[in-house]
Amino acid sequence: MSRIAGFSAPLLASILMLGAFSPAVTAATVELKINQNKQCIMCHKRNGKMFGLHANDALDLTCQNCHGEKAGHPRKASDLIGFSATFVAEPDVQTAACLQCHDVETLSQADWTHDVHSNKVNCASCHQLHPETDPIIGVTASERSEMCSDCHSAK
Amino acid sequence: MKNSRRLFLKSACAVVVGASGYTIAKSSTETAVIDGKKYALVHDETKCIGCDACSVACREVNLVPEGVSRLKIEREGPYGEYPDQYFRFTRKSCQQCEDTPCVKVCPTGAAYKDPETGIVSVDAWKCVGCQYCIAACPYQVRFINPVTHAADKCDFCKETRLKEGRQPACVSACPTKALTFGDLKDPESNIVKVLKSAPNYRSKTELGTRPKVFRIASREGEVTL
Repeated sequence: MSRIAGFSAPLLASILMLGAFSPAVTAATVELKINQNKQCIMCHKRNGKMFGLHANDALDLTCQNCHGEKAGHPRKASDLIGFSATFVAEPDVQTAACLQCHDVETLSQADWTHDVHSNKVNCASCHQLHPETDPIIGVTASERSEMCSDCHSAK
Repeated sequence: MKNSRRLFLKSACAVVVGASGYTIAKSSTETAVIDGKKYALVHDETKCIGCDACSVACREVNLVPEGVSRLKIEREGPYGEYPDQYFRFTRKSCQQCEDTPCVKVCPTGAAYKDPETGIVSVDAWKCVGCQYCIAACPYQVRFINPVTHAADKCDFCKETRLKEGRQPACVSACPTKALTFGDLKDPESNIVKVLKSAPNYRSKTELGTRPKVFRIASREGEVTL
């Protein structure tokens, strides 16, 4: 009995490991459609790649859907927008890009804080779409209240 | 024969009068001796942002198990039309009544009002879990603690933070300083200053409970029936 176990255990482990690794290998080789956008990725290799839910091939999104048309960028004028608190575009301009698909009602049901922030704070203050998972998903109650007090604090 | 009965009645009356006089005198001296603090709390609803920092801190400091809570912030809303919407936040926790329905119904004396601080507390070891207090509390803030199996509720951190000479956990956690804690008897205390500077209200005062949690009202929403 123990001899069988001693022999089969490493075999089983190797089969399992093979199974676990093979999808990862294929995922690394096949680039998501959104990351094949030559126009943008040529320069933004490091900071432009999308790995999150919004990069899903089925959604068929491009960089331009959110960031706007390239136009004269990078040398001349363009209406490209970036998503961060430090970016020149006003919060409501940034929010408008998200509201193209996400409607106010559904956002309100997902979390009440959307109702009172949407035109004052840009979405990127809490959400990030480029990384594989949005950091706001699964925050603990205490982390969440700390995020509130980052802005709301009495002097 | 006749005389002795009269004597008996006379002396019996004298004893009764004397005894009642003694108990009245005793009780009046008792209330006079106790001259402690009267701790209270103000929740400024106009400053509250509903971040739950208070309830998170309460759970941590008082080791309140998951599934029950001593303090909750209740949210009503949204009121108004997008994008100009707002919410109302109200604090749900023990109101620290002066006239305590929970203490009155407690058969074992586990629920009591501390004469030194005026804080309503629970002696967990005396509680038999009959839940009379839970039924009697008009604010519905009491619960059976699944760990101690005794009735539990907010005690202004009497056993934790106040013992260390600090403010209750919720008060120090609040990022917008919406909570003010202090002694109502001290005219120089912050709480007295806050209460005198702003119109405030208390919940269900019509029941005669005389609660010691005061609220500064935020913008009202619509009336829901």
